[in-house]
Amino acid sequence: MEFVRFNGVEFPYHPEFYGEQSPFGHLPLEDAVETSFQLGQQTFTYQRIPEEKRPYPNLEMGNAANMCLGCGHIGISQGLADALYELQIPPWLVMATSGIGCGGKWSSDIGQMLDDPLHRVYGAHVTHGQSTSSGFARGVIQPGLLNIMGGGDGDIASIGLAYLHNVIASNVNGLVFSMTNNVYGLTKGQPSRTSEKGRKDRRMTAALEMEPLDLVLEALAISGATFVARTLSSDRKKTRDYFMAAILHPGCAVLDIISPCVTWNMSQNAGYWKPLLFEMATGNYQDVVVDLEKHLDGKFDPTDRATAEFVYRRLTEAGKKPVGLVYYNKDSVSFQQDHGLRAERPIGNLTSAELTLSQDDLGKM
Amino acid sequence: MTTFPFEASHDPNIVDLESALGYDLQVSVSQANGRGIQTTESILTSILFRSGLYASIDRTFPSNIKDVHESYLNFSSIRGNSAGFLGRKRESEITLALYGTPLDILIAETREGGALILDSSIPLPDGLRQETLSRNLTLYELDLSSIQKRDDHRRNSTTLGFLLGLLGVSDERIEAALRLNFPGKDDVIKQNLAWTGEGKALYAQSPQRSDLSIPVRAPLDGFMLQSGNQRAAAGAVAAGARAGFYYPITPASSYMEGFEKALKKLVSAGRLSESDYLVWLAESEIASSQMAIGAALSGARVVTSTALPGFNNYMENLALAAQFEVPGILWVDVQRMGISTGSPTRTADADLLTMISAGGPFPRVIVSPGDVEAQFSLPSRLFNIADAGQLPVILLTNLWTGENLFTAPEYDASELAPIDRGPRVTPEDALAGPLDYARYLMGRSAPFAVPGTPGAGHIVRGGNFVVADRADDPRGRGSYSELPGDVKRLTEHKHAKLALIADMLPKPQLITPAGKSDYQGVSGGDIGLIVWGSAVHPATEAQAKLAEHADVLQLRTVYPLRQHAEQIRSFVRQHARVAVVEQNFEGQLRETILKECYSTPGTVVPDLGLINRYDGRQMTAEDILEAL
Repeated sequence: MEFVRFNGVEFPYHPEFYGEQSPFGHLPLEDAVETSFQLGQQTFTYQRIPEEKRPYPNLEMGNAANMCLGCGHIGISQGLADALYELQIPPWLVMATSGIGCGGKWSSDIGQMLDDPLHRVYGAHVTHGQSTSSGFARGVIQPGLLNIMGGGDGDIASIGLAYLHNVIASNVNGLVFSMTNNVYGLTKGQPSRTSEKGRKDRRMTAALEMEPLDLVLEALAISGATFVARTLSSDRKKTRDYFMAAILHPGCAVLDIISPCVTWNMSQNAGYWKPLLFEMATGNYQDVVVDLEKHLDGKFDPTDRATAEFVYRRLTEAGKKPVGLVYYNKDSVSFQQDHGLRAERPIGNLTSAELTLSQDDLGKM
Repeated sequence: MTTFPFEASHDPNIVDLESALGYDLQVSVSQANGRGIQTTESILTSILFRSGLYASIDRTFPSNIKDVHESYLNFSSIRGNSAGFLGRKRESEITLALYGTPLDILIAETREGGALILDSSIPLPDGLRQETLSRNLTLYELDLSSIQKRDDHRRNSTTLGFLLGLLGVSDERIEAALRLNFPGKDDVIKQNLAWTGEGKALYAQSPQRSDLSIPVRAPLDGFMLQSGNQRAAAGAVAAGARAGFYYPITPASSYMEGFEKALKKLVSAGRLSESDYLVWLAESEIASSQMAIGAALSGARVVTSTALPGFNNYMENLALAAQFEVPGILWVDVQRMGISTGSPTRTADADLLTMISAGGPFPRVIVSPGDVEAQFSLPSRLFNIADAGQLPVILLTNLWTGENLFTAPEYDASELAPIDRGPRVTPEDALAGPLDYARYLMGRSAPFAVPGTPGAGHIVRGGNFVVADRADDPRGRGSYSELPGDVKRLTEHKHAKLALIADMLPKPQLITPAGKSDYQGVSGGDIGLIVWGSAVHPATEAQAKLAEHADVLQLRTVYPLRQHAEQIRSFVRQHARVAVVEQNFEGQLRETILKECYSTPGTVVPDLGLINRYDGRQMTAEDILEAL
């Protein structure tokens, strides 16, 4: 038995367990080809198993989502399912933790309706805002598994803000995504902390009476942050790529994904956002903030934290909604690596015999 | 010193430390908070312990770091006796006051004919001086003006030396105690010995004699000095807990610190590696309780500890744990006086009613070890219950037990319940062949699947109402349902699991002068005391001191009680006078007994007395004797 690191997860691998009849399912690692993709100027590499040889289906097929037609959250869970499919991460190596609300449903929807038990992930639909706290502990106790935490912006950026800060600061290996629709959906239309000040959509109950909070800036403000990005849910391919990069990143990746709410915040739809979006890697700074063009010398570098924050703020002040990989630390060391936590011996898998202390051990204690 | 350092006093009236129950000495010591009195406490405790006595400390301390204005209560009672009583008795034979507060309480709590050693710079008002006379106290007013005002260490050690001179303790015994407390610090030991020597010389010059003594005997075999929190935390480690999450709060912080310390010792001993455990200081109690759930969902045995204000933040997640039917968590509440920010440094057993309803109407198990000794062995049984029943198990202890030092038996592996993780599947199980995994069974605990197990992925039974047992789902794979019938069955399912673990719940213990045993319903007599929490210590002491025969029934499982109702009713029936002894205002156990054991229509509700104390100090045997 050996442990294999494959596309962001580590798991026990023994060829004979991976035959056709294996309970582990057949994962043809021998057919994997090293493949790269770009987020801006940054290149990410993974082991790609050709489509015809993939043992695991796209979990989107088993999606039980009862979401409003056109909801941005659907695109986001599709993007996540696409990423897992492309990376061929066995679903039984996935820990999915979500909070409450419309944004909390993805963990109990994704792949859960598939008939094959090998296609089901380990989902937990926890309390409001606390997917990050739960996920932190899950990552520590099962350091080899894929640790996905996520919810709506009411969940991640409002009630869960303190927990978000701490999970980022810990840099626990995993990813946190916020499906940001600037409104509370399941409780029917209250403005969330990311709502624009004073702006009340027709069906919203009220407007936010204070300055909104910017999730990207919140993440950047934490000195332990190693991966901060924003994208828009309607671009499924791009959403998939951000999820893939976040999964491959050794550390805590934060994705702020704009997700239009078609029921309570209808006017902030994809058409509303698109003209405001500014691709940080490829956008024409000259058109927006003249001095930035000079400052950046034609090229935005997301690996320089101070520049990233400065440029992001200037774009925001100019009325833009910056998207892209905002900040990225190539040398990220995850909490698990830093603490020597080993996938070969997860705390959660210690057997009764391993846990039992002898009289001699008790004496030492 | 050239001047004679004592004021005149009356003739000594020496107290007798021996009685039918053997030797018993208690010394009370007061000093301003932050001025190093812990050394005096621990040296004296060590000497008593090393003299073959059951030693313990009862500290009354304030919620501040340094007492500049000398206004906070900060004193402790150090006791050593041969009968095995732990905790304070109402009166001390000797009081050593280095601090003006609370002189009135300390004098009132010094035994008639005892001694009061006082720093003469502390003003003794006429009324109190009169009180020392009427109590026949031998008053030693020590002139310590030659010691610099800020030299607390020297003042403390000199007065300790005076006390030890009065108690006839040899330098060898003092040095041995110093070595225990300052291992490897030869300079400190030497310096302290010089100061205690000066104090002993002062006593030698004193014209007044009290001349009490601490017997010279071999230390108790197989015992050690430790705090209840340390002991309870070591019990959790021995039960297989390898993850702990907390947020600082008095008096629970020392529980998790003890947990980490025990694990670190196993690392130093080469038994564990650093990556075999995690102790994590979370950003809040909401986070620490959620992390406990995350860690348990990942397969670990987990402790999370707090006091009531923190537990109020835990409640939403306690409910989540119940909803998830997550195994492997021990929820520890180190009780203190409330409410809210109330009296954080004072003790109580007052959280029972809160815990019964905390988070909502779902089954849970609440256990209080009560006695110091059981703090170690009980967690192993509680974790087995949590794993078998997949429901919240709450351990109630308290500040007095947790933060004070006691004489307790060394850890004994044979007392531990063997670790049984209950129904569970792990990746290794899948190696044998495809799993036919069912997470959602009704009326019993389904196997808990450790993430990473192929073919056992599932959504934890949570926000949606996952039910099984339906005609279309014979394999228990589960499905989403909001049908009223399914919601009803799911509710009943959770309650039904209580019956499965009823036999595992710690049983009521009958304590007689002969010893302790599971109550078999055969005892009878005039007086019966039902007790929970740390009140078991004064209750057993009162039992030994009472002229009449009394039985003590100790409830360790304090909720639910239905499974033990017949034993409790039998105990009540067989005693002419029954009182519940507990450390809260409401009589919370009494209320729970009446509700759980006497609520069937037609049941005759008994006349249950209540002996309670709720001033933040541990109950004494004298309180119980007086009430009886």
